[in-house]
Amino acid sequence: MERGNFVVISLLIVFITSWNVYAQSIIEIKGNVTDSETKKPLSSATVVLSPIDRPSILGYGITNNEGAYQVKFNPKHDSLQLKVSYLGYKTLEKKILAKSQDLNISLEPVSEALEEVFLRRPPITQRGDTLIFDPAAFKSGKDRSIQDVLKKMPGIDISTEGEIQYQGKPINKFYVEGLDLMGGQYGMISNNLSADKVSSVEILENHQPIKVLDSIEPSENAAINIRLKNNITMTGNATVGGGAAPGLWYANLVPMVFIKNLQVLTSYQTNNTGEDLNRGFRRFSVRSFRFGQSSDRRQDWLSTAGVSAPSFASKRWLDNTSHAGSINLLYKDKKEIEYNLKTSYHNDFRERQGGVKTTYTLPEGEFIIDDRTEQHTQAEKWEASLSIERNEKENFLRNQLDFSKQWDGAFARIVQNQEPQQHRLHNPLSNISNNFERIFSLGKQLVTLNSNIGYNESPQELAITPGVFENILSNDQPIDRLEQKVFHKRFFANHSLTLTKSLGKLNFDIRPGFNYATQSMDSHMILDNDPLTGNDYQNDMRWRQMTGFVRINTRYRTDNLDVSLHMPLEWNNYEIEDKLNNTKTTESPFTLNPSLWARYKFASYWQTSVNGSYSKNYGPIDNLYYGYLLSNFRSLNRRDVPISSMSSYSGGWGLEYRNPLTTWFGRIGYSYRKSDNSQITSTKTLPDGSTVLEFIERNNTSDSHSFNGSASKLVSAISTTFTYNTNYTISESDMFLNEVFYKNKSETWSNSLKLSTDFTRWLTAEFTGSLSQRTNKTALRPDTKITTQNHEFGLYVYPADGHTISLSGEWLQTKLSNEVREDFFGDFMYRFTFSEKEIDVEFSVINIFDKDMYRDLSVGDYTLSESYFVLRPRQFLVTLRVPL
Amino acid sequence: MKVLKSAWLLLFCVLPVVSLTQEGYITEYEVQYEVEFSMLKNDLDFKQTEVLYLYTSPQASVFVNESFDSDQANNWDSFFPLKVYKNFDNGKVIAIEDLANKNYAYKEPNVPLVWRMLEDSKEISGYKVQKAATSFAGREYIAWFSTDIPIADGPYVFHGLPGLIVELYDTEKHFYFSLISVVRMEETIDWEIGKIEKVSKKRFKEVKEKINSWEGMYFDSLGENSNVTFVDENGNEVSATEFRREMQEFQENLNQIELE
Repeated sequence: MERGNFVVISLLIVFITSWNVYAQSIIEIKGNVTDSETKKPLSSATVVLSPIDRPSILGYGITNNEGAYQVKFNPKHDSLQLKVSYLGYKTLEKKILAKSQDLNISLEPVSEALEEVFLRRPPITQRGDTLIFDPAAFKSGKDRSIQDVLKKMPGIDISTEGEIQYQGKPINKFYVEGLDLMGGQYGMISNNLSADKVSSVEILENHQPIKVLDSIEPSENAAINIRLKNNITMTGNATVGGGAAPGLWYANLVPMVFIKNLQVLTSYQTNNTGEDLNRGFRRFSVRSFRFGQSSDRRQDWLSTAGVSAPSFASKRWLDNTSHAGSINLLYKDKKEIEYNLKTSYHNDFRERQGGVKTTYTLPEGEFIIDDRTEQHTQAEKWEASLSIERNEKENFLRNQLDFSKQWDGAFARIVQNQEPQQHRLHNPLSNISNNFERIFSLGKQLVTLNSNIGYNESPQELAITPGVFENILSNDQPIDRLEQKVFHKRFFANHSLTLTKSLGKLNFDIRPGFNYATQSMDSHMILDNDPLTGNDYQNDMRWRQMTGFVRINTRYRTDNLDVSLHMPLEWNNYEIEDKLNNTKTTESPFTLNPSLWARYKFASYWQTSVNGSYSKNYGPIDNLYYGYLLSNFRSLNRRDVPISSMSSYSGGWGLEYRNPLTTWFGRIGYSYRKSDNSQITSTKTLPDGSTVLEFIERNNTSDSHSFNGSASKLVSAISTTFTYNTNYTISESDMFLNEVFYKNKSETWSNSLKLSTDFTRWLTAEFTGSLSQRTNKTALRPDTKITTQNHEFGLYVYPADGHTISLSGEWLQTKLSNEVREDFFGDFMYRFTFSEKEIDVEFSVINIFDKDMYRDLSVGDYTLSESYFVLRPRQFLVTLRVPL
Repeated sequence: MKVLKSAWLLLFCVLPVVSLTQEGYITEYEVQYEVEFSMLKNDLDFKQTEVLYLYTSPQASVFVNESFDSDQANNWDSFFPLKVYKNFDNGKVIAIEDLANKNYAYKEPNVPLVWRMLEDSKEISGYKVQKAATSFAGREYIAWFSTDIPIADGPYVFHGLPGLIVELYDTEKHFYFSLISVVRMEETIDWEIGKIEKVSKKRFKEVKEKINSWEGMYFDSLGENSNVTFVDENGNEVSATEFRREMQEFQENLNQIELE
């Protein structure tokens, strides 16, 4: 070793002393590198000299802050390749002679500087409160829409309805390039936007959609922003198809355009293949307003006999003929005002067939009722809404005007212990509402002005042939046709003013306001074309509620800690007027319903939260009426008691962990709820299954404890995402059945495991399994334990480019003591893609085994039911999907 | 011949440098490196990984263990607490580390690095890269750089090649840096060094060692008359002195990137 060093040192000495001898072969190239336009020197430019034929480097230099470089080396070649590069400039390459020379170089700037280089793009990156997912890391061959890819991202869950959740909480906005075109109906975009057009998916954690409130009102929910690859994106898809047994059609046309300031989505969908079109139009809880509320919910007073639908995919059971169309337009002008117009029309006809054998366990003994039902429903709805929004840092303004009209109806035929019966229902609705909100600063305070006004009316009608409840309604005389009519109208006007004050980390908002609502309900029954007289069988009710309130919210927030306390103080005035009996009841209670929520973040990946609340609420008043109302063929209801009150206490704790580097996400939580009611439902069930519901004054309590946990992890090495969820709930409540009190207890434990994996390039597999157990305990009958299992798997094989074969299956089992119901369904699909244009041709067989019926078992508080549901037969379908 | 070439490079590289101009670190690009490293001397097969960030421009660069956008001031869990500030105008490299809540800074004496160009070339994710070698703080390093990305920078103190360093590892592969991404940031970042205590590198190492043992002393002082109990990695209760010794052993067992 020493000897080696010695050799090196002596060589160095020889080399330095014999400089002149070696200098012959050493050349020096030097000069300056400048900008060709400004002539300014460029520092840190690289100058590389290589042999002509090889990329290896003979010598190099980096310019100093005066733009000068110098390269000395022994060339051994006659000519050399010179390469001079600088960020944001065109690389200069030229041949030069291998001799010492002064070489000044000027470089030309290029318009596009180096923007991004990804060698190994990490699947998830974090920038502050934003997580950026690279869709390419999650996309596999079978995925088409962005939703297919979102599903696989850790932390993200998509419910079967299509609602997107992040860390178990629904997202509050779904943006495309920062614009929210669809509001809550983002399913239209997530289902139809091609994943290939997306450059990245951003999760904006704790996102506050209203900019004025950004640092004032923190949010627990996240938003999703989809970044597109191009400035102008025309996308969407058109799918058309047909099939047999019986004649089937399917069409889904969703073209959309995204330009910088303009986004348009139009859609037309129709099918009779069992796909529920409402899914696409479903509105998820995305609030456009800070305090505004929507009002178009119809109160359904009446219903026909029905068949409850199976819990699995609708394509196996939904017998439908559906049409739906929509136009959605969003334009943002130069003053940052967003105009949003939406209109849609639906027409949906459905048929259901099934039956249920119900065992009623009553204090008097056990009774069995056997029903077979055929139900047709027709839903028709037109909606339009226009909104204007200005969302700036200092000012927020939004006004939205909504109209909707529904023409709904249903027809049912029921055979009940061999007596056929027909039900006919009409329940249309007309609705108009306007919501206005403005947020601005007044001095150092923030003021929110909110006005919410609406009106709706719904005339509802139910006719039952032959009639029921003869013992009460007609002194046991048979009734041919029994009609129940209800006319319900509702008007409301809610106004409030909110003052928000921020003292550093502490924020207060004080919200005085006044709500006014008035409703009327007229009802009467017609027995064989003769109106039934007597105040016991009619209603002419007026309900009025006035609420004056001050709601005080306090919020303390630091980087790691976030605490909020709500203290709503309300004065209510309820007036219940019965015009038939000329009676008027009023009550004016005061309430204070505090609630507290806190979250603490620690050790970079952890956070914990607690919440607690107490509330005492009165009402609702619109279920107080004194004459009987036939809400369906088996229940006659009334509530001739004073206004009810309910106190409830609740609390919860949660712990969350998320580590984007290791791709681990997890949470556990506990929640408790207890409520004390002043009234209890008195159920009188007769051996024929018919029920008379009344209410009596008696304090009663219900409570529940619930534990939940979840963990998910992306294992990059095997491209697999694992998700496990568990929930255990124990609850207790009181029941008053046929004049006897019972305590009902139930225990539910459910578990689910989901994994999706891309084993190899040619095979992808997905599995979702769930197992749940529910035990009901009551003194009425021995404990019942029902176990349900549902296992779904999907296998996707890509035998060659452009070919996809999928096999999917579902196994369901319900077990109740010795009774077991089991079903297995299978589907097959073959898809061929013309790779250049991503046109898919799909051939599918649904319900391969041609199962005609689904059988299930279920348990109620005092009932056990064995049911069946008629499924769609095996069907063959060919569809063509063209990306737009 | 190899010796000759490196000697020339050495001569060339020593030429410029050293003027004490106003330090401004304005950066344009964010470069992410993943580093896979052997954390413990007695278990070199135990590999850890971290993502480290290099913010760079033709004038200066800053190498840190946390993203600039991150809401945390410092990543305490990182194995690479040293921040490296490079000024390409004057060739100075400043290293800063928070030791017991005080920022100590020293000027790295062993720069510029002497790179030997090697003949080998290969492709990494579509980028043609070339091989070069150097030595730093007791380890021999191999770097693969790409002239297609004309940023003469790299992870940690490494820089000065005619292209960005795409891979860098020591010959024993205890520390293996690989490039993840280069992104031009929407806005340039002006890095403020803030309040620092200027020391020599030698002094810095002394201070660091002292603070490590001081922390041990602190635990010592707690030991006898407090409710604090110490638990070793197997969950056994140990005395404060024992604990301190274990801490010390643990510290000594850490496989530091700089050996001298």
